[in-house]
Amino acid sequence: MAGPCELIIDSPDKSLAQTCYEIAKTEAKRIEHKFSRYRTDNLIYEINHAEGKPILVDEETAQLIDYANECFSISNGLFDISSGVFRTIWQFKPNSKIPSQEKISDTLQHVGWQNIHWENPTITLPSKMEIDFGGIGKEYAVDRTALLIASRTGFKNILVNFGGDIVALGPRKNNSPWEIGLQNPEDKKAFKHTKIQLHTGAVTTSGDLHKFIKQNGKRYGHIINPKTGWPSINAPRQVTVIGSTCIEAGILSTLAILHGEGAQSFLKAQEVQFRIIR
Amino acid sequence: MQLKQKSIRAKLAAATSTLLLTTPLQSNAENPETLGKIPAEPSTLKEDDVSFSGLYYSEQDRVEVFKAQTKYTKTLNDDNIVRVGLILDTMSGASPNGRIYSESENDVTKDTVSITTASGFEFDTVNDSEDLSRKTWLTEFEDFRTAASLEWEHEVTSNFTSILGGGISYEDDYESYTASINTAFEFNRKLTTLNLGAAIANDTVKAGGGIPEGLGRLTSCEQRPASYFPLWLDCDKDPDVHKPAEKIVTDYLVGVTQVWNRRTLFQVNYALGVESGYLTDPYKQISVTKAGFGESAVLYEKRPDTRTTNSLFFKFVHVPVDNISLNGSYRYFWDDWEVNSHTLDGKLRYNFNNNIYIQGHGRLYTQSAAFFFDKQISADFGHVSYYAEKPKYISADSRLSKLIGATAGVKIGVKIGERFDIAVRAEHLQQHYYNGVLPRMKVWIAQLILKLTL
Repeated sequence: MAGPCELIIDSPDKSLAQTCYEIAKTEAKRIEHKFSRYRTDNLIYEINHAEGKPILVDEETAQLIDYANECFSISNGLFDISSGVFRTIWQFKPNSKIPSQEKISDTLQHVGWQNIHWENPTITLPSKMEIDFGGIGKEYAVDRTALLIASRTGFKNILVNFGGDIVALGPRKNNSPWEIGLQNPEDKKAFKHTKIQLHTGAVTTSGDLHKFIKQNGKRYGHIINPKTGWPSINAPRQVTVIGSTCIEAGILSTLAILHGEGAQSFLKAQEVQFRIIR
Repeated sequence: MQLKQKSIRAKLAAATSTLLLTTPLQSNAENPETLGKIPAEPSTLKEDDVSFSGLYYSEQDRVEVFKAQTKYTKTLNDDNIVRVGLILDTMSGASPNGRIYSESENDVTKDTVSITTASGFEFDTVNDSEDLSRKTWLTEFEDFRTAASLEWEHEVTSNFTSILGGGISYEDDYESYTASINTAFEFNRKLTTLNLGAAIANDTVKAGGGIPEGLGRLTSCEQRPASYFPLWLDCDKDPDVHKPAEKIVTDYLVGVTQVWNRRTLFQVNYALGVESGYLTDPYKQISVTKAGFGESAVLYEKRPDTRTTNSLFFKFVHVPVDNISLNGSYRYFWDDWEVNSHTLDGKLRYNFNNNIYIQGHGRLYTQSAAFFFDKQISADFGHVSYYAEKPKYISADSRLSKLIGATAGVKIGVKIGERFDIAVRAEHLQQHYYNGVLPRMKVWIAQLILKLTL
């Protein structure tokens, strides 16, 4: 899991902190191992290299696929766990070039959840297609960790932060909200002054802080629209959303970026607290 | 035409609660602000500000200082901050000049002191001031200083900041130009800061017509017997007066600040100072004394022309509970003039609420004497202050003597509205000099600080 992971426990009890830490460490490692697409020894690798054969999945994976399926449907196809294939043509490194339309069209043929056969508990991917949980895995780990800590220790004055995806199980001990600094990609110092107050809930930020291509004065962010194969036009550089859970906030902020110019009205319609930086 | 966006949140929340096998923490229908709040605009605490400080410093029966200082901080953009400062101060009163102090005023001769009048250094004659004539160990003076500084803070990268500074200070008899660079590297998730700094100052000591020759005579020998003077003192030769003299002071600093936890911070600094040039004080003198007579002559002091200073500084800041903070520091200083000092400083602050605080301050200071410090030069063979040969360096400046001091003070700060801060500070300092160099010095300090956030 990229980025530093931390727990902030508002209690002087060291053994409680140790217990929370062990729970978080174990859960984060478990989820990373199980769902990382960068490994060759997990189920995701097996699914992606099945060459058209059906693969039987475990209950947790099935629940995540169900969830992704639901998100695909309610987002009208904007949220698609098969869109990871685009990374082969869109690279967001310094001096990267935008790919040709021909390449994009070719790749588009291997993207599309509607082409994947999902019949719980078996999944069948056409050859050359892939799925990955990059869009929800980290958020899922944050939520799971928080829930595990709550159910095992009963303690709620705790903040879980995995690389900027954050959930507060409850407020601080004195019932005051947690204060979270928000970094503005343009304004390196402003994080000291934009303070999100998080009471009980989750906050996530999506954006192209470091991952983008600049070509001919246009900026191409790293979130690709699975329907077009292109980064969405006039996308906000960064979207921060407060939601009930990390996974929900994460999907809303990703979808907001994919809505491009309509990000603001999309998030307004969701009735969530948000902040957009363009 | 913009299509009205549909809310997908209810469906998303339902799917999420199935996934996480739990009910959502908050339902969609409730006020989203119950989860948390994102301010619509970043709060712009990083505003410009202007501050003013007025300080009154008063030594009992001696020096009085009024100091007015103003500082303007302007944030040019995210990476650049400029600070401009202006200081005006006026000092007046009587300052110990190094001549022998005696509790019994009758022991002191009532010689007229004739001195080339230095600007910024005004002498009353005996006739004008009966009091001064009896307190020859004090020199009356009046001085006015103007100083300006400019500082540019630049964030080079998100964990590397540099501050370039320059300053000028002007008095009729003293000028100083300084330039400095300070850098801060943050690492270890910004919990550790490494500070490196260097500064150079070029000072010119003008002292009226020029700098008197060290150990030259200020007063004449008045045709007194030769036994009233050390053998090496030439009673015929008047002291040479030199042109303005310069000194160069360079300072280097390396320090580490470590955030230990949410409530504790440590800091360790080492500073090295290298001074060279004219380090003598042209206004400081030393008495030649003869047993049974008293002060038989007055000479100018003379100090080495190099000095290397070192200091180690330890500080910790601890916040035991939310509205109390403790700030403690210790400094050990040593130099090749053999001045060693220890400073113990502590502050305890209590915040009544977000707008009012009170802070107590205590400080203990002790130092050893410089190797060339002496109260006097005795003409009597066998006396501890008898010098068979002309000393290479000598000073009777009380600031180089063995001393101990203690300070106690209190500061109260009040925030009025969103943009105005006011603080008042009062401190009392007592300094005790060993071996009867000077009577105990008592100082009162009062300060008013105003800050307006623009």
